[in-house]
Amino acid sequence: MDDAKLDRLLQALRGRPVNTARIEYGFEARMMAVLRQRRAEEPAVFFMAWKLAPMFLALLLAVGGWVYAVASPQGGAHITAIGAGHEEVQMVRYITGD
Amino acid sequence: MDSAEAGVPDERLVEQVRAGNGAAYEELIRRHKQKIFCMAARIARDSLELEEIAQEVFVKAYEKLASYRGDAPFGHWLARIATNTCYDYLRKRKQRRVEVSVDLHEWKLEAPAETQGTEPKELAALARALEGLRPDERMVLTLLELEEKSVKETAYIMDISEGNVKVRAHRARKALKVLLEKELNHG
Repeated sequence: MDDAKLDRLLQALRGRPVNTARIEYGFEARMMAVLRQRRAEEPAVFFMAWKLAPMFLALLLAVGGWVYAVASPQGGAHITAIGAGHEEVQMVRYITGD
Repeated sequence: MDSAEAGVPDERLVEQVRAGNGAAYEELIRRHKQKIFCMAARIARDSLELEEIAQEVFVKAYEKLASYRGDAPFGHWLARIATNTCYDYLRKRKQRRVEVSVDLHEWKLEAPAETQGTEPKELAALARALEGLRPDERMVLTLLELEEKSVKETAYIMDISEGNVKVRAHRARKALKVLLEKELNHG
């Protein structure tokens, strides 16, 4: 396949008139209807999101609190150490920050 | 056409849309729909998909209107959105591996006098070969070769450098030649 032939074919394809007039007819009216519908649906979505916001906030706080309580390595280590009989040393380290 | 909007520059209409004037957006659609339809027609498989792509372009443009700064003509900005939308369609189609019929669509009329020397079979083969290209290769060739955009315009629309446009176009032509050769030999 040489460049000249490819150029000739591309030129032929380019030269084919594209007539979309029939499909374009009334497009702006249909488009505005679509946009109006989307605008009408938007408040309902925002309203639902607003109503559900406190629930999500409470859930977030609960999960955050749980993660802090369970996954805190320092707290966990001290509790384990106290349980293992090293209360005094660990307590001094904990208080002095060593 | 609404006489109030006729003759008003696009940029002024954009300001009016931002201020809540829906009729101004209707006028913008009226002015630019033909170009968008022509671009989408190079990609769409049927009239339903053509309308779907055009609608998506104007919905996206409406939603992004706040980000339009006016540093390029509105038409170019819209063409960029149209290209990205067409590109998304091509990618989705490739992912789904949809078998498409790429014979001449209803909106493509009979060949004009200067292209009558080209056989319809060869043109159909070219259309099939274009379908076989990667989405980015197809977009760059569509813009440069079929829409006759300059390298600079293509770079702006595709949001890549001019050098990158040239490199991609070179690769795309090379890939198209291979695919077309196959189509002509086996089709």
